[in-house]
Amino acid sequence: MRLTRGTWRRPGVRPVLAVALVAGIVLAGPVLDAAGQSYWVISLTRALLLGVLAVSTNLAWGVTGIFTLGQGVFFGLGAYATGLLATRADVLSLVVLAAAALGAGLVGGLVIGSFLFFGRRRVGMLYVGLVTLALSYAFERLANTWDAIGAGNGITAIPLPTLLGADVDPGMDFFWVAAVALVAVLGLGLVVLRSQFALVMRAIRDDDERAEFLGYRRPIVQLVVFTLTGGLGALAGGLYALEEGFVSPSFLGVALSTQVLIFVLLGGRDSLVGPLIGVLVLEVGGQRVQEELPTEWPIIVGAVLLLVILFLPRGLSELGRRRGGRAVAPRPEIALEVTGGDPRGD
Amino acid sequence: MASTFTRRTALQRFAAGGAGIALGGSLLSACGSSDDGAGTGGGDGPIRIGAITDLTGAFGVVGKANQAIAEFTVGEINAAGGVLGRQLELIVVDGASDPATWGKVAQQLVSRDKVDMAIGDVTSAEREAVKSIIAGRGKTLYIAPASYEGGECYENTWTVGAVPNQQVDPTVDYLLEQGARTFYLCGNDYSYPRNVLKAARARIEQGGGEVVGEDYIPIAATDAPELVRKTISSKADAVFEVVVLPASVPYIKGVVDGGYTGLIAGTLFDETINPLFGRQAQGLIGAQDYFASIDDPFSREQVAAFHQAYPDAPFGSALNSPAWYRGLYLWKAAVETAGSLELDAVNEAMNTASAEKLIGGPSHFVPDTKHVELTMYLGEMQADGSVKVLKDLGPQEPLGQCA
Repeated sequence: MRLTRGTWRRPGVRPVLAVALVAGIVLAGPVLDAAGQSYWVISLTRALLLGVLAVSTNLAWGVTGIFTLGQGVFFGLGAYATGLLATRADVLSLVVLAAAALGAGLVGGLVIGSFLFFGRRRVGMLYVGLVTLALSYAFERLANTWDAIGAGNGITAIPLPTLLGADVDPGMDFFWVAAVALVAVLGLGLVVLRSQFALVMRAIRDDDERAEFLGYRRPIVQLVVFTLTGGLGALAGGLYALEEGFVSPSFLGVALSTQVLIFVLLGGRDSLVGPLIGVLVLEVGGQRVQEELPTEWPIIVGAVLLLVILFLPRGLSELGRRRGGRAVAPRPEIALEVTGGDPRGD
Repeated sequence: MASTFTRRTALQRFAAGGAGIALGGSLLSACGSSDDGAGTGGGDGPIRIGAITDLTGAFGVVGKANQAIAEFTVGEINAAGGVLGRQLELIVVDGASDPATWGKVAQQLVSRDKVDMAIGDVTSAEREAVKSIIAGRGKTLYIAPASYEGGECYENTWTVGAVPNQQVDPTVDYLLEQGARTFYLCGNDYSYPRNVLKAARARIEQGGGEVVGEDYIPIAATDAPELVRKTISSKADAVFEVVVLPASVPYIKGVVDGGYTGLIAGTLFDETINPLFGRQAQGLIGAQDYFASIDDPFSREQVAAFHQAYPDAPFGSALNSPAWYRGLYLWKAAVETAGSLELDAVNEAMNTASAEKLIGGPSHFVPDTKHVELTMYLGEMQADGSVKVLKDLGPQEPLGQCA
């Protein structure tokens, strides 16, 4: 089978829409604040931080195909890192706390990833899914029963962090912190996705055996991605804990780990801003419905998710997809036969 | 217990569903209209009371009871002219039995609904999750009604439920009076059972008794076969247990049916919980701030009125119902003493707030402890789920709190 040049396109939303989306969110903060809608500012702040988590999860799952049910573990790791440092060691510098969360996640990702990907036998994604799921469960249980880190009560009354000598106050201060974190993570994601490395990531997702056959060290690539996404997930969790003022064991559990997959699935796998769309739709858009129908909410989410999977397999971001090419990426057998074209498209 | 409410709940949900779709349609407009100027201190609009509890999830039954008593109490206060001449407006939010969700909805009460006071907790983890959001960063008075392990002294936070010594000491004294000398202690492995059993051990040893064993099962356990075995083989004269639902049901049934002959005491028995144990509830001992059978005309009258207004909602000490009523009235008394809703003034008045007409009996804050003195009752559970009051214990002071 032969495909003509230009058939392959980079997945995801059109750049102009993506930039407009991010700019819109960032501008929404001050606008809402000026309108006296302080609660919506806080909601949006939370969504931005969950967005960081979702964007990072997508790098592992959507782009590289690492089916992780353990992103909540990293989120929790970061949250406990900042929570413990702020309450037990009186570390209040936001920069230090954020760095500590990031560091905790990187180390955690490196350690867990080493066990996951360097097994003697080749690892299937089912294996990765089950192990990370078990880890989510185990960490939640551990946090729930370990007295030194607050057991079931978690870490409470976390003081406000400081930046450049001033308190980072609830409201707009935290909104800017979250916005900067999100934009930075999106920027990093953009660099990664535009690099040659992203081609290897996707190649491993689509056919890891063939990628290895071509000489790529699958475990190394997976480990690098897993470590990076672990760090970013922990950064999100660390900032979230400071914003909320408390850490609960449910921050690192199965619920959050699966919820973030829903964000990614709904918004669009393998799209940089897609997962962010998922977060915004469910966390900000659906908030009112969730409040009024707490029992029915999971059913509504399930139904929406089903419809999206059936009709928009690449998620909501497909609505703003790039022009040209087909909606579905070619299967790898086909892609390898493309000749003469630049597989990076556009 | 849950099965009693499911049909009614289903109907309410169905009705709420219709309203919810309409609300869903106005999602975007909701975004631009949440601040309407009411609340926050001054003015003559309604005073906003935020009630936070678990309407859904594992503690949904407790939450439904909490919502009902909050509505009942606020309705009663409003009918009598409100507070400082202003009506109360109750805003109820659902924490879904998950501390992270509690954080979210607490934020909503404080920064969106701008409540003047917030009340509610079911577990300590939930209280811990919201206290800094409501009372710390939110600078809003927070009342925690659940009976708990003690030790909550956070700023702007006031607890109105029983602490261990108020329930444990009179219960242990009764067991000792009954001639018990050896005791077996057990519970789930988290702070509440551990602190209750710590208080029990201290009182037992002080009274000349001996603890022959102390064991814990995981917090989320659904069954407790080892505890049943160890309880029976301990051959202790009495067991003091803080096994929580759902494991408490197989535990009690197992111990009773397994032939344990000693006394069984705990902190979690009352009319709303007993039916779960079936006929094995017979003879269980416990102290609470209220039982349906207490000899107090005011309590009887109020609870009858409550059941008439909310025929499907349970009312019981184990669901913290009397504590919600108490908390709202103690706050009312404090605000009226302070003459304003200003936080420092209300805090100062709370320190000595007292109320005579409360369900279960009069109560007041013991100055500088942030905890309340309670009239307690010792009860013996019956096979039909009712409670025989063994003793009116009179006022019991909270010990060792925030001193």
